Amino acid sequence: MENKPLKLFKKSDIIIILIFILLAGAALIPKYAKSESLTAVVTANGKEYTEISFSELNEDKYITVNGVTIKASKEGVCFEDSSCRDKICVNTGIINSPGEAAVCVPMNVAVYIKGGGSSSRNDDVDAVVY
Amino acid sequence: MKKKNLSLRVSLDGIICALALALSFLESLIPAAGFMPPGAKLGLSNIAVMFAVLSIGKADGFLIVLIKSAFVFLTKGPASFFMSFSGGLLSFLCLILIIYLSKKLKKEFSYIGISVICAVMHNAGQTCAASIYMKTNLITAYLPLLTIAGTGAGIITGIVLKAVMPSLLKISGKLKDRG
Repeated sequence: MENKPLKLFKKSDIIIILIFILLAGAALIPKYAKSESLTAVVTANGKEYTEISFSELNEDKYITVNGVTIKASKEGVCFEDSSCRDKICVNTGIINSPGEAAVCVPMNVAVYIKGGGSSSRNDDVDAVVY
Repeated sequence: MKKKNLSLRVSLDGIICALALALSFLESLIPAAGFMPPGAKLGLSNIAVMFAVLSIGKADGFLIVLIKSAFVFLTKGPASFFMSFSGGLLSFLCLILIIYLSKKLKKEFSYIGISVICAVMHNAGQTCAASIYMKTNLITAYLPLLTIAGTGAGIITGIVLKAVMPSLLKISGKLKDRG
């Protein structure tokens, strides 16, 4: 057995930690690019099940698939109830910005938010001056 | 370890396996904090795996990863087993790579460095497994948050590993003397 104890902390650890945090931070930036019309995509068993444009909803809408209930309202989409054990999906809470996702792995159901047409809108001309 | 110490090795592996399972149960008792991304955990049972790989042997570490996942299969079902095993496997492979690199470069890694890499890789492996299982790449939306959580958890498990290493080595040393 090699029982040589190692050091607790080395300066090079800061580099490792920084790399991980910077990578994660870079991946998070696009999430904050907001768009107005939002669509939630529900997938079940790996296939697309339905789509809802929830930001234009006037009343709450419920979708039931594979034993989970998904609630869509103006504020966002969430797993209302699930028959799975760990309830990670329900505990995720409301999701409402593009790229966000809520997943129930045991029931194989997922919801993610698609940014609806924000890129085409940004390409529009703001004003034309003659 | 030599072959004549096989019985010692088996018993030591048994103890560490029990430790890993007990730690993962203990961890499930800690309530999830609000600021943590859903599904993020401390990964205390990684301490047992890291100890096994670093001080007993690589095969023993792999055995513990396998038994840990088998236990998850019995208690939570095949989907959770798939996620647990792929996380454990990637984390284990990275640990092997770290040991190889530290021998090759004649440089030692620290406990915090090792456990941060293992924790982040465990999360990455799990996220990839979930993506494959559900045939969507939407779970990659979780990975950045899980990476940050994994870095924090890795620092904590690194400190714990350093703290418990002397007593774990004492236990395995005693067993060695008797064998």
